[in-house]
Amino acid sequence: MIISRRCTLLVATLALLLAAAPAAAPQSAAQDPHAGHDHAPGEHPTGEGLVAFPGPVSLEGGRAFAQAVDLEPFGRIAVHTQGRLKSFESHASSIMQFVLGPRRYQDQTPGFTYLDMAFRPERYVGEDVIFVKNKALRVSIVDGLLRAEDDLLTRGFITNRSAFEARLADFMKIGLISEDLLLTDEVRGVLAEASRDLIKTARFVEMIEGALAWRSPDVLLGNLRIAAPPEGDENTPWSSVIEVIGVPGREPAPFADEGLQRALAADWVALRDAWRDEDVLGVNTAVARLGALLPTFNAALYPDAARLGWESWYFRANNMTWIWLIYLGSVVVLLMGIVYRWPRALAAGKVVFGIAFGFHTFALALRWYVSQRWPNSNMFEAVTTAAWFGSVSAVALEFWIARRRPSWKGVLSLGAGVTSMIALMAAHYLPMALNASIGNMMPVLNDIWLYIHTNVIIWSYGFIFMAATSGLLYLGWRVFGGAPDYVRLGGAGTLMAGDGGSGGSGRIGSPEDTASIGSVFDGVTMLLMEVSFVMLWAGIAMGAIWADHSWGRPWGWDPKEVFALNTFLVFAVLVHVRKKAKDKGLWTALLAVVGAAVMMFNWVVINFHIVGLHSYA
Amino acid sequence: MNPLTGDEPRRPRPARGPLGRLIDLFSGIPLGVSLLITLFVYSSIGSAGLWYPVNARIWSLSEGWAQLHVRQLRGFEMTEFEWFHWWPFDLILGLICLNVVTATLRRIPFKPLNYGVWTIHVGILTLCAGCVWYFGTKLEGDAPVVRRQVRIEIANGEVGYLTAVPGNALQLGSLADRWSFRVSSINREWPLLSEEHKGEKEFQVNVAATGPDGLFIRSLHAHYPQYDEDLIRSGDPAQPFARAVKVTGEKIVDPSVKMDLVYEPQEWMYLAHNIEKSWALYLREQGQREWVQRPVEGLPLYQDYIASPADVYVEGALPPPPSPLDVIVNPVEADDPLPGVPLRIRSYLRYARMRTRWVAGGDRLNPVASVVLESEGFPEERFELVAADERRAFSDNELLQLRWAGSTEERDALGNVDNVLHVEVPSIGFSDDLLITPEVTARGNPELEFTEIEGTPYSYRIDTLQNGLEIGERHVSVAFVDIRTGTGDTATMVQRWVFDDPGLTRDVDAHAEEQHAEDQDTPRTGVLEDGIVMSYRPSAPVQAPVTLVAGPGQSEMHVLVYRRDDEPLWSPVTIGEPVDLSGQGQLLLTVDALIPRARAEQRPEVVPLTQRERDAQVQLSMVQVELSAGGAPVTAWVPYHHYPLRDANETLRRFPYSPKLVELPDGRRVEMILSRQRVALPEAVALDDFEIVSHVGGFNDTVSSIRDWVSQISFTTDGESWTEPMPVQMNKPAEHAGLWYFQAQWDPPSAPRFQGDVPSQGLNYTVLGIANRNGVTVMLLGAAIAVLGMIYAFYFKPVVRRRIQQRALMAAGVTTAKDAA
Repeated sequence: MIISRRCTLLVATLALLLAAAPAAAPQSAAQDPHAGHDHAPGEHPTGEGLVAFPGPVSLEGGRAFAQAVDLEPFGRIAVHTQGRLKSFESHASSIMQFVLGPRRYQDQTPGFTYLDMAFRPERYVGEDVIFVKNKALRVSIVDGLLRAEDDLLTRGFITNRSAFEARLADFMKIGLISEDLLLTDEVRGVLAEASRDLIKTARFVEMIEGALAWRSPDVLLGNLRIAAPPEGDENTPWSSVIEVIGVPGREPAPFADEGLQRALAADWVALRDAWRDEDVLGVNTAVARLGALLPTFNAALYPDAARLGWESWYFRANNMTWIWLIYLGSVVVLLMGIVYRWPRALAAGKVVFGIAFGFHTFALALRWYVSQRWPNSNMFEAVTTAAWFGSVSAVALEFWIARRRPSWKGVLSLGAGVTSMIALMAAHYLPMALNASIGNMMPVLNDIWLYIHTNVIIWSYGFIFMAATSGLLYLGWRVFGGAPDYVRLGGAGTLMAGDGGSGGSGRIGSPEDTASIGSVFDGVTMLLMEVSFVMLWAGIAMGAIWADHSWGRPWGWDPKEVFALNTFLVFAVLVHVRKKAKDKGLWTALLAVVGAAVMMFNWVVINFHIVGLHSYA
Repeated sequence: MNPLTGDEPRRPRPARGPLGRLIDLFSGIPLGVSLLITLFVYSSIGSAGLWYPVNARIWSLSEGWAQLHVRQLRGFEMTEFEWFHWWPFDLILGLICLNVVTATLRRIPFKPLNYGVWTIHVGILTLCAGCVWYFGTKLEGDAPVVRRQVRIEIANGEVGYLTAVPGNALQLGSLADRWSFRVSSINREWPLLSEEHKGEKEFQVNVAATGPDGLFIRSLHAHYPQYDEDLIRSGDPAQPFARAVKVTGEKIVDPSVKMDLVYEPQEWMYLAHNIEKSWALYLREQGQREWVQRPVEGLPLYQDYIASPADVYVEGALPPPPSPLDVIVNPVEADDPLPGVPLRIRSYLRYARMRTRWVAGGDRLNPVASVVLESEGFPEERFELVAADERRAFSDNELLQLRWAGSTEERDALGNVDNVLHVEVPSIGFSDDLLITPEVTARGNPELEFTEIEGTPYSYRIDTLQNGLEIGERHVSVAFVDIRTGTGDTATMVQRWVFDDPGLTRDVDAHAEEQHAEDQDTPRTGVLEDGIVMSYRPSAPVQAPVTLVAGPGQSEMHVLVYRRDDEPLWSPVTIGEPVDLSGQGQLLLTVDALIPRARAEQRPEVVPLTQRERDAQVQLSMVQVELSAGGAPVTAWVPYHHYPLRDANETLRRFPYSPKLVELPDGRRVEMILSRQRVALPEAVALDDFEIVSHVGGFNDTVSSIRDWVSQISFTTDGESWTEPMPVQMNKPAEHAGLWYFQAQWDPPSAPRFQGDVPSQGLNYTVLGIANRNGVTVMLLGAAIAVLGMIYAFYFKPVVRRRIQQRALMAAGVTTAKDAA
């Protein structure tokens, strides 16, 4: 009867989580700046006739057009940007992030919004499409606008006070505001004041100015370098649409192949005109023609269509950061299996973890493939790759443990599941901090020792986070009255000791399973701590080798170096405290958590708030 | 020994004396753990500082927390290296080492089970030994190395060197044989077209040479001087310069002017502040080229220290409390220009700019007004207008001008927008004012007839006007009026130049001119037709649409708005009260202050912390130096220079050159700059080539398109022979004569820095990091030994333990652990 209830619970949990996964893949509805509003066609999305903004704002029609347009062929065209050939979708995602931040406009894809802003800029006049990242700045802007509310009302800038205030409330929540509100005297005063504070707010004002600049059709099209040089080599610059076909007041630049230039101009103009007319057939036809034409400009230089296609898919799939939901499923089920000593839940949890790990591995491999380098050169890559290192280690160690210490089974998967879940959640919900854009590696990072040092370090970070997870489980066990158990021979020692440890060797839930859950958590914490201890030290030493021939000194007391060393010091304290303390398990768990906290401080505070030699990582 | 664990049985300890207890203390884990925790805390404070909440938004680190950089506070003023070499840190590390040694020797028997911990501890001690060696002898700095300099020799044998960086200039020769040379442009990848080297890219420098016979441009090539040639004016506006060989048949138009691109050897490296503070003052007598160094010890780095608040400006804040320094800087080099004269540094400003402010108390009329202009849709603009300065009398946008009116008439005249000719014939009482428009001038209207004055023989016609003529140091306006006397064949005609200054008005008669040649008594100029009197009142010279007219009273002010097709609009101005210039609130002008007798006062302005560019570091720092030599003490603010360049013609665009000239009471003139200590390189280094390896699409002037920088450097001991160039790239340093050379910075493309400047394509120089690396091998060996120890302790020790147990069990005649139990 109990088993049956458990099974029902398990199935229901899995079903709930798996059903939620696809819904989370695109930007959630909560991130839509206009979610929750019901608008009549032509009505301003934020209220009843709120502002007398110009321009045709046919939202329902616009949505239908956006859904009907097929930009899939553009997914296989390359854009030259910042020394890299990106897929159009990848390029558009990067650029739209400058404008809209992590939001999307009316659930449009970044690619659609990019072209729409270029072809129909009037559609976005008065729309809340400029992202303000800093919340303190949002507060100041709202204060400024509220102070000027009466004046804005008098001037006819707004017509409905409550709708305006609701719009400001939306802005506070999601950070999107319209250009004309930003350009009111009141807000300009706020921004001017903020731009004077170079420490706290000036960079956020620069981001706003950047967003305003990026919205310009000239800038969007000027950066759309899609025309490969017909007779050039890989050092020859690609040409932008504006350079190839010209714009009013600006003649086309000389192009090596006039035939191709004319063809591109014809198709592009057809696309633009059809787009403006919301002629879906015309747009799709022009897109398809351009998708076929552009790779012919210089086939030798053009990137592989499959790679471009996968890159576009990767960005359309939101960098697959939604995998965190599958990891969440594995965590819930594994926790049930471990806490209740329930073998079926444990098995099911491992299956779900395996699925999540499979997706995670695919995402990593895909990023490796499209970026053509191992993904560890920015924060997004470092975090997701570190988490993957934890997961792949958990999978490998689970096999080892299964033979030597079955009672430990699932705990490593649980730790890795929590680690990867949090890492991918961070990547999913903090896209500005963990920017998923794919760029070239900075010159200073282009070194074999970088690969070794960085990977070893982030791998150890993965272990440290996993150790903190099992440490927290141990602390939870103690809070709920668990005995102060521990493994006498340490992590690896217990595994290697055969029957000599106190961890119990019977299968979980079996009569031979004599190990207390506390000793299991302690054993896993020690196992992970030991390996991270070695890897962290080795990684630091390898970093010193790299730094020695990169910066001229192996150790510079840079904040990131110091806090990597501090993390190691915490574990050094742990190793020695464990020798002397009576309640070894408790101290181990506490210090494992402290070590992870120091590591996180290093990754979050040092990386984002303290400038140092490692500021690019 | 326990056969299962391998542990030795504990023995009761004998009673210990104080030394024994001390040794026991150092043999124990508790002290070790305490020291590790102390090290952790010390390192954390030194590296990240202290963070504390400043408001309720504690979930946001950037908004809710503030960071206190402890090591940068007054009293500390330490770089990271200095913090981590301070005696407390050395003490902690020393105690840890002592603890490790004592504990290892006394508490950890050297046996297989303990090989791991022994190895770890040996590794740590080896690492510490390496650190002592490494940091004890560490030398680290950088040096800019320019790609080429231009060696110039003129006909009189004078030789000069001009650093090949766009905009740099040099003058040679004197008086009649004066030559000016300027690097007008540099092509970093000049395509060669000759058959032999076709397709190669060359570093090409264009030097504009202006001499007694005019201007030519010499095109110089770094690696192929055989292609050097001159360009001369072509007369073709589309292509103003042409190759001389095409025009004259000669490649070089003036062989007496010799120019060559040669290496510019760098003999010094400049110590980096990030190891320890390495300030130095550099001095030389005016006219000398070489600097003499005075190392400065004890100068801070992070905080401002101000001897007297009256010496500086502090924007929008109360003056800081006095915090004088007393850093004495003594001469150390034999050729110091002020031997025996110590310099005393009284103030240090981390981030300041020299600022000129106008204050009351001048001894002459020099009106200065502070004005704020607010216009709808544009940011507020502030201007400081100086009426007597033609350039600074106008706002940047040239919308606004400040003028001073010495009298009411002068002021009112500014409102006059009409040109008026006043005509009088006193004999009949005729008087008339004629508004002069183009239609009533013969130049504007060739059909214009003479206007007759009834009852007189006079008729007149305005030929033309010229307002604002510059004559000597004054400006005058004049109306040219033809006056005809009489009618028919007997009529005579003169042209009267009617000046706005009546004293200058005269008649000009061509016939009289001829007579004057024959008869010296006939007046050549003067009013010949004195029966008709004319005066001219020109319109006020409108130089800006809005003119702020101060005077004649000390605080009297009006604003004058010139309007198209309408009378000018006068509005009185009260200090601090906005004046609506548009009449609709769209353009407001507020005069914050008016100083009729202003004098300039120059002081450093301390830039508020929030307005400091983080990357600027100490680039805008300065010190206040006091020196006593032959009279009363002299103080001067001496600016920081990243490199003590010798001359303006060595300027490296990003790195300015503006030494402070100090005149001593005894008449000597000494130049000073603040910079970093320099150390002579064992061999001078030069830059043979500097390339960029780009990503796909080529280098587009942005860093993101760069994959790598490659400096090809050569060394010399005698300045004549050079080693083969060796590459220095990111992550690939080069070693020479005991020092390592790293790719540190580069010269990026840059726009013109000021009006008249030229742009630069960049890559004219590289900046090499230079360092020694003693003890690195020992450090890394220690780290590697420790890694091996850890692996042994965690992963081999259990195996060893198990084998020991198995051997013990076998010796005891049991086969399994269960049996043993």
